[in-house]
Amino acid sequence: MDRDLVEQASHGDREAFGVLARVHGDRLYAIAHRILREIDRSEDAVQQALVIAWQELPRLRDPDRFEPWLHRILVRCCYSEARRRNEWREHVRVLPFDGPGGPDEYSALANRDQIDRGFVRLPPEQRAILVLHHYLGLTPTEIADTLGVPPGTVRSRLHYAHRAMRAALDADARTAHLAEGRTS
Amino acid sequence: MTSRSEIERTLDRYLAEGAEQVPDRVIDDALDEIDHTSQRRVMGAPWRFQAMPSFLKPALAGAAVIAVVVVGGVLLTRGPTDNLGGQPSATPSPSVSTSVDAPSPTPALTDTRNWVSFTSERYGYAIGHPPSWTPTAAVRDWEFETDQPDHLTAAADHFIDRGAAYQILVTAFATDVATGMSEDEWIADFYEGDPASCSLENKERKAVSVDGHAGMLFIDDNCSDSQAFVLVDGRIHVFAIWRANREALLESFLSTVSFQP
Repeated sequence: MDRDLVEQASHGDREAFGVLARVHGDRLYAIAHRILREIDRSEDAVQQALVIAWQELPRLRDPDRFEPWLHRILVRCCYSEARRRNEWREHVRVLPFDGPGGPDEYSALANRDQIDRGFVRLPPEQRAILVLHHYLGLTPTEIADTLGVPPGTVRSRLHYAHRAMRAALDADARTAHLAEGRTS
Repeated sequence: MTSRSEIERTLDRYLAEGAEQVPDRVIDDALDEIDHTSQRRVMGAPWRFQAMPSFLKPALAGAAVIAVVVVGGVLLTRGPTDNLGGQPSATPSPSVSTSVDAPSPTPALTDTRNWVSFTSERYGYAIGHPPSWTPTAAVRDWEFETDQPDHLTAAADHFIDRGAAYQILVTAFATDVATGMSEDEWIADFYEGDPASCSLENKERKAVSVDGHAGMLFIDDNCSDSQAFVLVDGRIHVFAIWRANREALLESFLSTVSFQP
């Protein structure tokens, strides 16, 4: 279905593009929200990505590549949104997610606040790769193809992102341990 | 100490949670914007699938010339998508000279004759903006250490198209360039710290003239913004638009700038 719609939209059919936007909108928003962690800017990134996609669609050579192409545009829009305030350098209030709140494997390992703090301190390029890898389940090669960067760059960013997250969680754990020591 | 596999499992679960459904208004607003947005056509694209009869070529060439004149006239009297205000007045607008420094086509400038003027006492310039846009003056002087990392700093004058479904922001400020520092070095420092994909090397450059002063426009549609830098009496003025593909609109703003003595 996408292929026909993409071809129609690339020839200026706005209704076809509207269908594509609604079909892919949820996934775009989910990706943007996980990278940016802010509702307003996630919405802005999605809108911006859709407008750019519409403008650039005639340049897409292979209609079957529409989804990864759209994801590439979205990720760039997320970089732009993040860049506007360079918020990864700051302490950002992270919106709570509506996920399960009970004890589970990851809350036993580290609570959500710790992970949030570590995650928002990552540069957006590392966050994007973590989202594409852990949320969309893409391999480094697929991520490289989506983002248009060498696979080695993806593997390197993934490695550093994992290391940074591990360091952030370890640092938080040490801080908590020290605090417990002072109060006991 | 956590192991790498624990980190991966943690991230799997952490990133599985989060928003899944985009609000309808987000898509609606984007589609509203698209209703007024043209697609970029690929030069040399296969518009014709059959050979054109030779007798039609002169006629179509003539039609193309007429179409260019008509479309050009429309673009000069109305911006393509922006909320740029009402009827033009009789006041002529200053023009921006765009000596070609990069292989980009000369954009159609928006008609600025009905724009209203904003004067920045703090930064010593006056600029026009569409009447429907809201100007907000900077609250303090722009300082490199504090404001370079924050592109939306309140130390810049802001102009926002609040009436549009898809808001556009233009910012402007000026600051002294340290003695012994070149304009290029200052610009390089300004972009320092941006993601690699938005680095200076990836930006398209275009020479511009603003109120008779030579400047440089850096266009970066991948990173959705463009900035113009103009050095005037040892102070660098920075004008930016924070949307992709809107460098022509920024040039329209630049065409209205006059620097105060």
